[in-house]
Amino acid sequence: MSTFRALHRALMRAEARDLSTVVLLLVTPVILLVLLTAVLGLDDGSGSTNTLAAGTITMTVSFSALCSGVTHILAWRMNGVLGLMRTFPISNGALLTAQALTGLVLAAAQVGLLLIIVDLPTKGLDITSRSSAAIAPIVLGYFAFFMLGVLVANLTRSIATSAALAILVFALLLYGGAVIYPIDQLPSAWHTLAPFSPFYQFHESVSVSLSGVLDWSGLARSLAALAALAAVLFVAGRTALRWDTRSA
Amino acid sequence: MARCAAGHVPADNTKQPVGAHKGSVVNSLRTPALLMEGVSLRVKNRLLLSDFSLRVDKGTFHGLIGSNGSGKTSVMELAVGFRKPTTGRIEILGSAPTPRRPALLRRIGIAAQNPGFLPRSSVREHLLSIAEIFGSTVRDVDILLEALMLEDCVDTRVEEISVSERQRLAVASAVVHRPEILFLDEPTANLDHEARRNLVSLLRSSNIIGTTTLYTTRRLDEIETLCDEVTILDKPDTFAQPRRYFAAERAMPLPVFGGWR
Repeated sequence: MSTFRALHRALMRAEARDLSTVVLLLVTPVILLVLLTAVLGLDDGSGSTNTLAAGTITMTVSFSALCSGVTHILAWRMNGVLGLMRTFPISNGALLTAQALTGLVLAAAQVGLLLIIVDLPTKGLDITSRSSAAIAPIVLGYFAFFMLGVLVANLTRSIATSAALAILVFALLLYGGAVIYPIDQLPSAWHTLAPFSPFYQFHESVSVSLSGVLDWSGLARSLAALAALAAVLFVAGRTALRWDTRSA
Repeated sequence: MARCAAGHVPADNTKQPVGAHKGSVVNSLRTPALLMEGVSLRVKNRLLLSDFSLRVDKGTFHGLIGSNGSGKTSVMELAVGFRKPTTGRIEILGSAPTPRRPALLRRIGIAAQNPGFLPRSSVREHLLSIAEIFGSTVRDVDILLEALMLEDCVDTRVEEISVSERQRLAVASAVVHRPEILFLDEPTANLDHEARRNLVSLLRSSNIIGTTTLYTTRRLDEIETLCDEVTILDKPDTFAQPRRYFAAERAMPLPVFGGWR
């Protein structure tokens, strides 16, 4: 068994045994989407549920990934796991990727459950074979936000500071990425800046994939931008990883 | 611990080159597993080590003894590349330990003073995973669990085991892949007599199969039992000044642990 696979398996086991987190990750987005669908009455088959689902998926996956990046590094630093991992014959990048992949498995379960639960009662969700195009942006989006979380955890030393910074970064990207308001209603400078937010590209590509009318060139553009952002964040996260186990 | 008396220490050892003790002619022909030359370490304006030199030859069991704060852990951290020296040169198994090199780490075993374990794993799962992560055979896992008296807690989560069990598991994790060089930072600090004797016996066995070991301790009897060579770290008023270096003969033969071959 390769070092990467063995580490991924050990991390997956740790993740799967953290039942409270698993339940929270799986249940929260479902409750959120079911409530929104019911309150907004989006069950007319007009595709509104798809739009709502795309927004919910973007929000929950990115938030889970960001939190995962922050909490894992901080927890590892505090309980000495980072000190152990430092001795492993594996590069910084491979170590972070192994944990990101572990979280991605949970995120996939999160999205799958979300789509199934929402589709069953409302029948408002229009899932076709083309919807599977959403898999690529979900993978890249998770990876990008996980690495962003790693960066946040390495910029700070205490849990409180990390949590505050993570929420601040998330809020800035959310607003900056024109996810809250339609981009047309925002100032013109926003049009230039928004594409640099991983949120914007993530939301765009998931929305396009689930919209029913798939614009392949638009999806390819968003995916390329998301991949570039993920690559930059990966290099930054890998470089910023501090191995010291002292924390405030 | 008469063996540590000044008789084995060079009279003027303040500028003694590394390895300049009895047997240095033989040693100079051997390849060092660890070489530290003129190493200084300054952290936030505090000098933790100054002009420190150390040579550990392949296959030897080298003790590092000193009081609290004398710099034993700093030497260990520098040797494995956890810290970068302010000045000086470090070589481990022929390579510089920094920047971090996965290929080099595969050949090293490290048991830290405050060890960490794979979260939410049982003792056996942890050890199996470590063996797999290092690409090593898992056949030694059960032998080690028995040798270190961890059989009773093999299915217990690592978060729930006692301090003594944690320390023994940390040593098992460091040796399970049969490293070429082993770094042990006060591995017996929290062990009772029997556990300590078993651990010492296992370490002796690992040394017999050729593992070079750098071992920090505050216990002179362990130095006597285990070590081929010893470096004493003193801490004068301001900073560590390790100079005294001597060879010690093993005093007490220990039974070699049978399964560890």
